[in-house]
Amino acid sequence: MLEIELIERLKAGEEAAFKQLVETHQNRVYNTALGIVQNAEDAEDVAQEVFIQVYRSIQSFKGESKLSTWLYRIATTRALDLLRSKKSKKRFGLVQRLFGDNNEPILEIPDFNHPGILLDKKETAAKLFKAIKQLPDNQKAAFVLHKLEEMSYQEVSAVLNTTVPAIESLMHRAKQNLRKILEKQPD
Amino acid sequence: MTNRKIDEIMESLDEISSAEAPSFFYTRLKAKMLVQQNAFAPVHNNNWVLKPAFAFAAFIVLVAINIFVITMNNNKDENNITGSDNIQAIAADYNLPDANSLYDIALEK
Repeated sequence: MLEIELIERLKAGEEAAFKQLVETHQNRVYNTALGIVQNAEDAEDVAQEVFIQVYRSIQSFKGESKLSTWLYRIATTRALDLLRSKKSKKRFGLVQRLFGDNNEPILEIPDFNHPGILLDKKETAAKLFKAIKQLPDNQKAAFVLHKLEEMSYQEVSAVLNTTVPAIESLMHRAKQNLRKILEKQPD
Repeated sequence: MTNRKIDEIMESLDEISSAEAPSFFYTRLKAKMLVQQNAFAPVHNNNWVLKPAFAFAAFIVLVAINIFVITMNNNKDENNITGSDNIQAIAADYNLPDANSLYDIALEK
């Protein structure tokens, strides 16, 4: 089915079209979210929210970009929003612990293991994911889309609504920052 | 950490395969949508008592009753006899002795 036809059917509120959209893109949307939030449950939540947003706002989709690009854009934004809200909650929790009475220990978040990583690379990949977590949002998004989704710089620039040179620069800085973060870590 | 080790870590995502969405993703998505739809849907209450037309009518009736009662009280006050006259009238109706009558009896004795 042509994408235009699918969009028209989605706008008409056809459930079969929505199901087709979800089944076509669910893995890629989930994988993108997983790369950014690094937690399976959160990634599923983000992926669900992406499709709910698409369902609600399909009428406003003008077709200026590809449907998949729009989906990736929503997924990236939602995943980064979730990370931001989790970070602020964590900060609030720390402040509460400083001034509060309860001396509950802070739970250490275990290293993230991506299910698509080969067994012999699990340990090194976990270290890389830990470092990715510390990157600024735009570098993180560009790196995840390029490395995990194997998107070209052209495709990443369309998702992040910027230019190819800007993505090249973001990727260069992301790699530099990752190396700096890894240098500080013990062997 | 050595440069060789860093290179090894940096290349660890080179042969990564894509993660798959959990099983029954669509079913769970539909369930979530249904929950959200119910949570945000306007309440279709058939209870006519809660309808604005009824509430407005009830308010008008309440105001009308208040105005009627106030008007009636004002009219009554105008036509009313004074308080002391009223007490004397009641005393006469029930044949109550006058407050001074006790002393009158004592004097007669």
